[in-house]
Amino acid sequence: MKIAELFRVDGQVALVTGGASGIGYACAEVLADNGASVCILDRDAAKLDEAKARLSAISPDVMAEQADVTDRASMRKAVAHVIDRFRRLDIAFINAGVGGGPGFLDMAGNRNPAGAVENLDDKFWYGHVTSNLTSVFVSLKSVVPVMRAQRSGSIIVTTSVAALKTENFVCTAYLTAKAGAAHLVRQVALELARYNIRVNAMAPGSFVTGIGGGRMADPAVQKRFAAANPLGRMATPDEIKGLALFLASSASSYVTGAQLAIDGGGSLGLAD
Amino acid sequence: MKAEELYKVAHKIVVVTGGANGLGFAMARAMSDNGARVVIVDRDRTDAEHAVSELSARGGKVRCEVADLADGESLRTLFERIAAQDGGLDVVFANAGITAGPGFLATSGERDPQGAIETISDELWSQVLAVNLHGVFKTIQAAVPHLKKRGGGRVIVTTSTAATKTSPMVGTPYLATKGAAAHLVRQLALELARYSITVNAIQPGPFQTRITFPELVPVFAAGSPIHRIGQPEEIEGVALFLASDSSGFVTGAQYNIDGGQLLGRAD
Repeated sequence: MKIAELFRVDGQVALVTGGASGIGYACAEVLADNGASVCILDRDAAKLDEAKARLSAISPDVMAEQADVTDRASMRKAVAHVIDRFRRLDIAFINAGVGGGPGFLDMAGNRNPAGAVENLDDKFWYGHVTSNLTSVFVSLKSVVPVMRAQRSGSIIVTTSVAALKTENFVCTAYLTAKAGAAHLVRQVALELARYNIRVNAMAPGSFVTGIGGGRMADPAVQKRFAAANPLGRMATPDEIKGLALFLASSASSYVTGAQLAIDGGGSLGLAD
Repeated sequence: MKAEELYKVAHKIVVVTGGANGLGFAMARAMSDNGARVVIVDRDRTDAEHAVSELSARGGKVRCEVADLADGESLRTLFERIAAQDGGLDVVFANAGITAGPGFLATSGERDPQGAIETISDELWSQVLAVNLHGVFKTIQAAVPHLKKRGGGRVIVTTSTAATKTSPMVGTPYLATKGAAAHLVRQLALELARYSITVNAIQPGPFQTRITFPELVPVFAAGSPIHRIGQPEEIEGVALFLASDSSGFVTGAQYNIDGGQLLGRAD
């Protein structure tokens, strides 16, 4: 089959949480580039406006909603606005997440007392569980009723390779919350398969995004992550586009409950 | 970016082992329908020639080579010839695989003595290893020098959900070879990353192909969360993604495409 036919999303309606920047924005952009109507959700109003302007240059069928993915009422309202305007919802990227917090080793490879399990501040624990696990649950609750009524949909959750393997400089709370989200994806995929709703996860490795308070922009941090990667580099957000469109479209019609790693081999270990 | 640009494979030189039938044929078709130059490598000349004429009729640039994947020397010669004749090598689907007879349970759920560990013949074990494991290893060995010469490339191995989980109705040698191939993929991905060669596995669940026992189709469909088995054309999307430049940051991955089979059973 021709590529344009296989990966077709034109006329479909998509929602992307955390859609104003990074991986979320790249997902929104590839959908808009291929003719889908797209609503981006973000808590950051300024970034949201800027992202909406960029997407509007691609397609008129773009909207932006300021929303908090940890707040049921806020998410319900945002999804209702999408339905008001576009009448359906075919694709949901549940992407919003928050990084940061200390790992038990620092970037230089030394022990970091703040990241030690016995010292890890409760604010990191509750913060990561809320922002990276409960947020996925709340987003699922908001989009599933629409898709169940339609008897169709594709849901894509952004997890992390840190959900699949240990990472000594990633905050333990982040890693645990992402693993919870990864397993939530599997359970919900099993539950929703008979309603023709597919649920999958993209598990990114090290991408240069604004996550973690912008520390990925630091060349020293980038160097450390690049050195720990078999491909010897970090990824740009644009590199998620192929995987995102594959999972969003019917090109992935027989894929559900999968965790698809996109990590430059980062979960394999180290070579030279 | 438009899909046509993102998943572009036009003018890439692609080899598909076991490309005459089933999933391999669907991979070859996805490539040739989108402008790649495809060489189908198969042990069966009649099937391979039939596949070539079918794809050529759709406008594809396709030819075939008949080869025995258990013979490493002739595979090296074959890949030399392909690189010389077709102008290099970009993508290899190490897809050929054979079934391994019954599992230790029959479709009825009763024990099947033919599939019991102590009954499996050495001959069957060797045959299955020859294609599903040695064949993959030797295909990649023969291909890598040409991919290195190119400054990068794609290796895509067809494994199976049976590589990840046990499956009582699947022949034990099949399951063992697929598990080994899956781990070989990870190790080679690590080795070859610095040469910009990515190595990934497509891990299919139950698909309607020639190696699927007909009596297993309803069993697999009933056991699948989405209540059906896959059709070969459903492999095309993942094949294009992994073959194209858009998967540049994916290596050492097992991409399962199984209708949720690995999740277990629901209603």
